[in-house]
Amino acid sequence: MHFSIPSRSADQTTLPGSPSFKAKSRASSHRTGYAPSFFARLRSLILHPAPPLQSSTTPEKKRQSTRRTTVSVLVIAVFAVVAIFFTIMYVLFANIATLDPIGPRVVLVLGLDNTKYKDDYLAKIVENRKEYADAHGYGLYVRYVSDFKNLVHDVTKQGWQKLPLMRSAMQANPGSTYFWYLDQNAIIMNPNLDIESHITDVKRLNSLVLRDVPVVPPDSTIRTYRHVPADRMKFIIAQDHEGFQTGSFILKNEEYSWYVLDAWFDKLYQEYKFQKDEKGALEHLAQWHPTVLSKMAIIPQRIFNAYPNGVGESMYQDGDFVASLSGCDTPERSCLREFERLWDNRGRVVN
Amino acid sequence: MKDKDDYLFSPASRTSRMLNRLRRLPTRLRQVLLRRRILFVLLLVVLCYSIFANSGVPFFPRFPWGSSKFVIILAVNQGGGVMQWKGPKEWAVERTSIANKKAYADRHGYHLAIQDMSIKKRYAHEWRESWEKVDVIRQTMKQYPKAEWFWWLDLHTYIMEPSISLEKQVFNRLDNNTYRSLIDYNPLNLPVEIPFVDSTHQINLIVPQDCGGFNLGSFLIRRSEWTDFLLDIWWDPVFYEQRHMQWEHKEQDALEHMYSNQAWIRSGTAFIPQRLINSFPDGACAEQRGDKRIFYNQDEHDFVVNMAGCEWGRDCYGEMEHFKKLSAALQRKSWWRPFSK
Repeated sequence: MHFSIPSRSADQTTLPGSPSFKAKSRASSHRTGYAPSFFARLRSLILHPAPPLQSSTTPEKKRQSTRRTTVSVLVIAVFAVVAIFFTIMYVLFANIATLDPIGPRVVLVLGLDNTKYKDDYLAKIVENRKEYADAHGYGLYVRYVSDFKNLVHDVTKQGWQKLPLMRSAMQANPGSTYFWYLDQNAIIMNPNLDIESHITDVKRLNSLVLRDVPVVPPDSTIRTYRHVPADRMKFIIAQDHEGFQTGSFILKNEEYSWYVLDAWFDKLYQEYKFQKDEKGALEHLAQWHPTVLSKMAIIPQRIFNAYPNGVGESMYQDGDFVASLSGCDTPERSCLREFERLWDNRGRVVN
Repeated sequence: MKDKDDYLFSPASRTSRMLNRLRRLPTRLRQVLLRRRILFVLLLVVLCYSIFANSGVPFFPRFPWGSSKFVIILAVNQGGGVMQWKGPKEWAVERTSIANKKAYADRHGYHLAIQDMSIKKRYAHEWRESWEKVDVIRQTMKQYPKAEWFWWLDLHTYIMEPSISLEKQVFNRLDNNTYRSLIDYNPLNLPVEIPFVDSTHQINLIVPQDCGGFNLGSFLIRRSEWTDFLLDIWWDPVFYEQRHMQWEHKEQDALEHMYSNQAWIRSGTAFIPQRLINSFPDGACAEQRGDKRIFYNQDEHDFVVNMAGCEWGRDCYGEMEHFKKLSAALQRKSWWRPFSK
């Protein structure tokens, strides 16, 4: 707001004065100069700031001004076009550079041992997994476990090979979220159940998680957490009467899982000769390192790792998801016989 | 002839005369500033610099605002005078070191956490001995919940160039200042490649390598989920039981072991050339005399000197006094350095 007292020499009539101003000036014109009251002056200043002293429009200046206006219009138009172009390009293509990798949401991981088992047996297992994966749009990652024998400290201890296998599966499928490791000696008996609604969905998982159970049955001091919400769980595994059952577990493809798999697979754990090999190492990890245990969910065994010849809670019943033949390579049992019986009774995909 | 009605305020009274002068004041100020435009611009620049610049220019007031995202963790009172008597020289060294870090932190608006490293029962021999560093870092992270980077400094260190901020020295060009591969400089002969390493992972731990391996006397660690995992897995009873007799440097050797064996650690760790934050005096790493990567170089204005191992066989007090005097002399000689760049 530019306040200035109008100069006395200015023409009174050119000032767009208010009626009262003019009235005042007329009324007081008998004085030597105009002398309106203070408030009248203030009001006139606020309402009508001083007009420009001259406004000449010669033809020369008119031409200049039209040219100037056309130039400015052109410049604005160019900028507008460029801006619109860039906006369109950005909206369409900006995310391409930072696109997240895509892939199936769930990947089944299978390690085949072709040194101890015949090819037709292995082919049946792969067929079982493939049928399941195809029915639900999941991925399937199959490797021979002998691929990883150089990384493992003791090749005779088969259990350790599943860890670099899982790590490798996660690296190969960066766009996938859930990785379900299922032992070779297990059959998906009810392929109509899908992993997400059966296990990993947050509400479902919340209802399945066993809270405040000892990490090592029957009575270890360290117990699972009571209040961690299920959406923070990244490692889903079951326990049998002895301890963790690593034949079937689910991991999310995140920093936590890489940390757990790498730490679990550490040379010093392999050399320590735990009684239960990698199961013992996992129990040790869960008891000594809360960053591991806080994101582990222990769920009932029958959900995805039932034993056909189990007792009580772990016993396989018709309609259960998975039947596991874990421990079948002991002399008392026969993997092939048990497998044949289950294979013929397995459920098929209902379309 | 001026009528009393010519003025907006009638100048009859003294107050109105003063009001008149006040009315003229803004115009006067405006005139002065317009005439002395350069002065105005300079004043504005100085004000902005004082308020907004991360590193303070000496002699100008600095207004530290907001909470800093850098915390310096200074480990003092190593041993607490239990195993060795703390004489006047030890006290003097401690005072000098603390004053140096305090001045630096004040100058740049960083937090300074002075942590006591006296011997505690829970770190007895055969049980977490020497792993206090890990617990102290975890504790400090809890104390400064808004900070992002934590700079661990041992007691026997001296910041030689206090005008250089951490941003300028390390973080402004983090990818250029650090290296992730052991191909060029591998004093420990660790395996150069292990499977499953993600080289695009965020850097969460910046560690210098000296002549004998990783040096945890001056290193940087970032608050993140990765760091939580590291601070948890760093000490493990199975690792400790099998290796603590061989691990002379305890937590440092544990980190070297994990770096060689666990891919997720490699993904988040970067190395920094030693002379950027951890130069050695001539006494340390004595076998590698003349190695340009290790020793403090005053002509190149190295940032920090770490008198590592001075308590075994060398004179900590003498070295600390020497570097203190040297730093003061260097500041005097190149007083213009803080204003450059």
